[in-house]
Amino acid sequence: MDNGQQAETLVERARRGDQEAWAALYTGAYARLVAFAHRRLGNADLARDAVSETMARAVTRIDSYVGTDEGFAPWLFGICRHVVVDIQRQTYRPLPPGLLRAEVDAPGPAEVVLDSEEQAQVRAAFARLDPDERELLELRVVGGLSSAEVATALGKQPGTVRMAQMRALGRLRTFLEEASRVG
Amino acid sequence: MWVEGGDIHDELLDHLGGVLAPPADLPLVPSAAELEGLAAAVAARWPDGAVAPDGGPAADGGPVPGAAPVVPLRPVGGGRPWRRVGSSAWRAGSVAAALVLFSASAAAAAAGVPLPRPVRAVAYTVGLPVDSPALDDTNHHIDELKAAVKANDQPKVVATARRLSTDLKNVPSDEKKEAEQKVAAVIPEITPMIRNAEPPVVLPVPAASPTTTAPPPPAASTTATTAPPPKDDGKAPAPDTTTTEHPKTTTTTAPEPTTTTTAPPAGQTPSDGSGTPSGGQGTGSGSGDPGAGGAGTGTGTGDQGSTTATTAPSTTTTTTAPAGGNPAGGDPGTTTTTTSTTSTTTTTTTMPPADPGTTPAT
Repeated sequence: MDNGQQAETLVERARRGDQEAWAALYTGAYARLVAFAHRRLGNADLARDAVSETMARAVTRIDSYVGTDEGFAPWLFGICRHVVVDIQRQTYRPLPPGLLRAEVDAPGPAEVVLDSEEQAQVRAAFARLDPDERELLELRVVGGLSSAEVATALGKQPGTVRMAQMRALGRLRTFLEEASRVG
Repeated sequence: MWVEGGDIHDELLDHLGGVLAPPADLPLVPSAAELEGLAAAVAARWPDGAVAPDGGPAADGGPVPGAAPVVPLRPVGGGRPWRRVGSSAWRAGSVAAALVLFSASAAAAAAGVPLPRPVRAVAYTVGLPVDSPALDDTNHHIDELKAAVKANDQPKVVATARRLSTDLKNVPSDEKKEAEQKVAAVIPEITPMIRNAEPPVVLPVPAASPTTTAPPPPAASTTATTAPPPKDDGKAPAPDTTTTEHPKTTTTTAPEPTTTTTAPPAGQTPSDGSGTPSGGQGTGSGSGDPGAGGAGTGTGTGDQGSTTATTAPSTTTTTTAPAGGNPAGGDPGTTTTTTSTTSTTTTTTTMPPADPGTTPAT
């Protein structure tokens, strides 16, 4: 039995209220969900709260889950996205006048010191991307999802996600090249 | 075309992954508390525990495996839950108010205390032994009527009599007899005052049988009381007298001042009659063919006969001629007989001709 079959078996058991199955699914997706939530929220505690809420919603909505080739994880990430947005709304603080969002997302002084110059340039270029582009790439590299799984999590077609990802990476490369020339 | 894992962007993705990697202090597995929270959520979602595995329905007849579990919307095994009408305080207040209303109405009804109209209406509706609001109005207006008669307030008498007429129409059938008796008792007092009212006041007192066995209406006796004493000189009655006959009383009455007398010229037979002595309740005079039938009037003198229709607002008396009362050649000596046919409000009498030979019958 491969991983996909095992996952589907766990999901079927979870549909019937199997506690062990739910614990296994939770544990299997926990690290990636927490990493993604932490990236979006910037706070470890909020990230863990987001993951707990994600699983709670998954329990209540398991009937709406339709098994796909991409498996159970993209479905959980789709829930986690909405939970993160809800938490962001609850903890929203208006920015000071004149301060752009990209400046907030830019690496701080500590990060610049710790990071190598190359990493700092990547962080700065990543902060210049659009929010949708950043979320897509975070799902890919932080959440560890494939393009198809990201498409499932975002509720979009895989081809659409691939094109969006390609554009985002192209812009990121452009920003890095600009930073290299300036540097 | 970009192919995942086969493009130069993959290098950038790997590099981006290294830069955006989560901090090392982030937990990789859920804590015990988080697992307990999940277990609690699962237990709340499936309160009866896990459903039986695949292979058939659950032993307890639960949901089919694979199908979505159904959360009961209300406890299983109980009947229809109590419908929540309101708070307990509201219910207690309603019950208390109903008890107070019931007991107060019953006590008031027993003691004869007048009830407010809304209370009376509710009490009557729920079956308490109280008079209906319409009967209460009738009684009230009767009292007002008596007071107005004592005060000799003719406009108020007329107005109250009209309201009384309306009240009687609204009285329930089971109380109508009582109400009509009360009204009939007061009619003699008010008849002189409402006789000239325009439009006439019509009080629907109990209708008597057309037969002569019906008791005389009070208004008829009123007419009798206002009549002057008959001339008893052995001669024929004066032209302005009328002999009437009630079922139980025979009275010689004189026309009231409102009497309309239609006296055709001597030798002329009344020809405008249709046999109906009265045109309706409380209307003016009418003259009938004296020999046209029971409803007509006639005298024995025929060509000398004169017909008088007297309209009183509260009584109706039809004077009929005897068989020989054909005005066209009737016996001059035939008596005139007045028969009360109804106890309503119009009186029609026939004035006998000024024939000394005519003797009124009794």
